Amino acid sequence: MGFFSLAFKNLLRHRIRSLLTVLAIAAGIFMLYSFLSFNKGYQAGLRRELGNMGAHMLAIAKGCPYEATAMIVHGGTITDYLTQEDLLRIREMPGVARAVGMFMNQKPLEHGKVTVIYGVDEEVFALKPWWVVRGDRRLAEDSVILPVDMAERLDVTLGDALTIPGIDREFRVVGLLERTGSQDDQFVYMSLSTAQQIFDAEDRLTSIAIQVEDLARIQDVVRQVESLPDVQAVTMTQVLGTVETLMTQAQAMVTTIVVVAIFISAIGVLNTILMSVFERTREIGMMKAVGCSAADIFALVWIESMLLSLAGGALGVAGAIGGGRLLEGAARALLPFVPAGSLIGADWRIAAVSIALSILLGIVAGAFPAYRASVLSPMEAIRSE
Amino acid sequence: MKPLILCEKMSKYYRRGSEVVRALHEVDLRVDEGEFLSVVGPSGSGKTTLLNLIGCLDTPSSGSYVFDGKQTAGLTDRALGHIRRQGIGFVFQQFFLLPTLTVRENVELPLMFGRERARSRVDEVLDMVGLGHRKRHLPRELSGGEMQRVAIARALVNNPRLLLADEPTGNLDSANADMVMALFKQLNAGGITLIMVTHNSELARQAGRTITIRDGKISEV
Repeated sequence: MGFFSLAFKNLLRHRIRSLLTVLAIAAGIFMLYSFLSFNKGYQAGLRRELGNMGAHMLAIAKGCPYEATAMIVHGGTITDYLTQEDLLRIREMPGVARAVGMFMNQKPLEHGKVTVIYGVDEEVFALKPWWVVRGDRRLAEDSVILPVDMAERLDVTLGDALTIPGIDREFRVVGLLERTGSQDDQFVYMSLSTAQQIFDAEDRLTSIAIQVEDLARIQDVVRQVESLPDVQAVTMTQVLGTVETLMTQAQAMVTTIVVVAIFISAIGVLNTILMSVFERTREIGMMKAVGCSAADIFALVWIESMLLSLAGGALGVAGAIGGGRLLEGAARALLPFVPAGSLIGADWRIAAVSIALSILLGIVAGAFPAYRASVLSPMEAIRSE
Repeated sequence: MKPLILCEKMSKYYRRGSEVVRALHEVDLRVDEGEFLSVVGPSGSGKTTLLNLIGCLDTPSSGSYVFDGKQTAGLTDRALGHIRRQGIGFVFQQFFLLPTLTVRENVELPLMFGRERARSRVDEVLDMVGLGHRKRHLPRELSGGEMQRVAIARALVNNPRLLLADEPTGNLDSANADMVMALFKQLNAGGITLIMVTHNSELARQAGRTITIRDGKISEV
């Protein structure tokens, strides 16, 4: 029998109390791991999403930059439009390698869901060369390209007819877009003109995706685009910055909650171990009588504290990895934009940081009870009631 | 005979608020190796205080206490702990067995702190107290007499030269008390010096020598 074995058995003496303390630590570490992992996944997902747009910048109608950002990365309805003429003028601007007009809008489904319609011309394939489309890439009138998952969900395949709720016409599925792992897997693609007709917006565009010839001179293109009346240019760096700014407040709030949760966990550990030391005063006196030194007692109580914290930390990390999807689901419901794909997953660096913090919590919270136990006079401890 | 314990004008005072309590006053006591001494006296007379001083659980306020030729005055807690670990075994009225440890693990406890790993000694002392067949049991599965015998085995595991017992039969019925006394006599016959504090004058008479403490002073019987 060693110190660890003895400490472990001591904790088993009050199983429910120990378990509750472990759960309190687990809750704190669960939040910490989930927060760090979500944050990391969110940043990576956001960059991936923006990279998947294939454009260096977007031209959109002047308006609220936050609304525009949400529309750009998430898909949605926009009330101010650009025109086909804006597209032609941008294409002629020096420094512009490619400009693709897009029309995006949505039709409501049941339960608050929507079908996001994406009107594009064939230039979009040059913008997104990684797209793999089974079937026909050419979008004629009344034909659509569906993401493969959506086609499975709707139980349609190449050549099938498709009706979209809220649109009084029938479409033919001509192409299936293989999974991209991005927001692109959530849109219904049709020709630009068809989309414009459906929403009574002939000649109108919601955005123009622009690739520049030289990234070092992107600001020159921005200036030229913004010289057009009622047009603003948003670079991907700006989009990234805007979303991150939107996230900062939420992060600050979550950080505060995590810190408070961990602090409460530490108090819980301190309380549990201190109570256990008080209850075992006479026993500690006996241990000292049989030759145990103050350092031995300190180590024993400290190990008990660290075992509790370590168990809580491990449980919290396991819970966060296993139950991350639930939290992710809640975040998707609450936040204005969450990138596609899994955001909370197994990450050994974050796991190591979380476990290390839980051990540190045990070290700090256990130090005082361990000191109290170690300085007990054996004689007074044995005589205590 | 060589004295194992030598107290000269040993006193112990406690402070209780502004009041000074005289627990022991200028006690002279010599206990030779191999003696079996019983200490009797009314409650609050200073019996347990004497036992704590002899057991190096506490230090005298004045006077001197020499254990096995070593002056204990001025020793650090660590040094006193070393003396306890090496030379003194304790048996208390309450058995102080750890409820989640088996009999074997309870007896092994002092070895863990002493960094020694003489596991065979655990079996030896458990056989000595007649509990070799109960080593895997938990304290709750034992009778009071058995628990006290486990506590005695724990006190013996470090091969102490002195065994101190504070009311060791206080929680036992007469049959178990007799069994513990028989064990003490057997240990004493084997060479262990034994000092036992008791209220029971009949048990005290079974020791080789009895001293009485009254108001912090010793009188030999």
